[in-house]
Amino acid sequence: MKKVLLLLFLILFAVQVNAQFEDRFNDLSENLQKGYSTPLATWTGTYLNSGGYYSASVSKIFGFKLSLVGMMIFIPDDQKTFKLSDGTETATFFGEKGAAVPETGGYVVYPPGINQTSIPTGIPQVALSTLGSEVMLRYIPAVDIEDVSFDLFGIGLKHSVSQYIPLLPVDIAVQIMYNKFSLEGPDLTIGTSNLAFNAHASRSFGLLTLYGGLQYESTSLDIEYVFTGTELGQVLDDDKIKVSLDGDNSVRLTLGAALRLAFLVLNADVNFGSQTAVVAGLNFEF
Amino acid sequence: MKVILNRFFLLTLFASFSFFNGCDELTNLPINVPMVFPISTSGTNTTLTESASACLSQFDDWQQYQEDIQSATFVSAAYWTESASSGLTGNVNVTVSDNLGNVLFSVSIPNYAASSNIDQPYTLELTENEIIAFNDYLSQVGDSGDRCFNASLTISNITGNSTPYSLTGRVEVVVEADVEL
Repeated sequence: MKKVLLLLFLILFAVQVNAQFEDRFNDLSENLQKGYSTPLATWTGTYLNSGGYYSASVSKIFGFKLSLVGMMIFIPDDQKTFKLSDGTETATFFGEKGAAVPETGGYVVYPPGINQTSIPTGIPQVALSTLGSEVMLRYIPAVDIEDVSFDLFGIGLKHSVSQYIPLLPVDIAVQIMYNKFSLEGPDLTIGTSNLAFNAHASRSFGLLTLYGGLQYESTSLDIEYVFTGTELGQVLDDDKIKVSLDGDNSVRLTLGAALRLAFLVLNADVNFGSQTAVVAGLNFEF
Repeated sequence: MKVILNRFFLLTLFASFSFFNGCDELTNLPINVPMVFPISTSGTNTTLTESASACLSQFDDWQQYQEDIQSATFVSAAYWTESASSGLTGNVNVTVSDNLGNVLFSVSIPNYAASSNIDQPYTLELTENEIIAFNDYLSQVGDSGDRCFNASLTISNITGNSTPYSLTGRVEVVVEADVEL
């Protein structure tokens, strides 16, 4: 469990994990886990559903893009705590301090969070386009670090709508994306799957392209861990329980700009949703 | 080949992260450590008192991170009755002192019906000065790595259905340890 969380932090936050964090995490029942980890589910969706486009123009002949997308995701204050059944507020995954609540059996202490308001992350992707359609691929094969492994797969399909509307002053396209990420260790498995559908538009002014879009998305996060608490849940083999969470991300508005320098395109956009994401991309386009 | 590919993708990910380097630095983690003082007393007098001692280092959560604990502060305290003789009622006082006997806080619960409050937590409300005194005592914990406390339970003006009177309870005090990562 410790190594899985360590890998998660190493990859996503580049910070050291604390073992008591994991101990308290394992004590959380299904209901408490939902309160604690839903912002994490939202974060994975905000992350994986970002960076899908920086232009609505799609090549009709042949196009190839290799992109390195970085992003900073901001966690709002109302996602840093959640309320327990008695109204006490305690930290979510991104919050700071866990509560200590006196109950019949003694004090119950809840896990602290990582106390982060902004999380950087990134993703590599390639895209091929022809005949007004583009296929985007994100792939990280299973990476093993000691007894923990993670992998990522994403695919997107974009189609130009404006190609059917001559003399339209802007390019318009629609896109659908599916991304999944999994992290597996001896005591903890985290898997997330994300689906997004957007319509976006862009217009070029010389080297500069302005773009924007509206995206509908959904995220589901599954956490399977060895439950060490006392409240009954859906117990699987070896005292493991599985909790399925839906992220709060459902709609986002994207506004951005791209600068085209020969085959190099630099882009940046802001995504307004349940969590705000600032995305920047380094793209090689042929 | 697989190792090379794995390292390439890891490098790519970290290169992506290099776009941003301004995330909040995670340097400390606040850990709640409950200290438990089990206390049991019995007798035929109408005033009974008993005490228990404990040091932070006796508790697993504190032990595990003792070397990395930078500071600690008071969070909360409560008293529980685990068992009591029939109809036991009295004025309960819970006092916690430092290892030299200096009182850190003292809370009274008048007309407390112990036998009617089995396993029900009674939160001990400290005054601001008491919290300051408690935290002052904790403030040097980073140097010694430990702090010891004495908790005493006194019940006076006892009434009950039968003698000997008996009361078993526990005092719990939660401190927040600031653990350096």
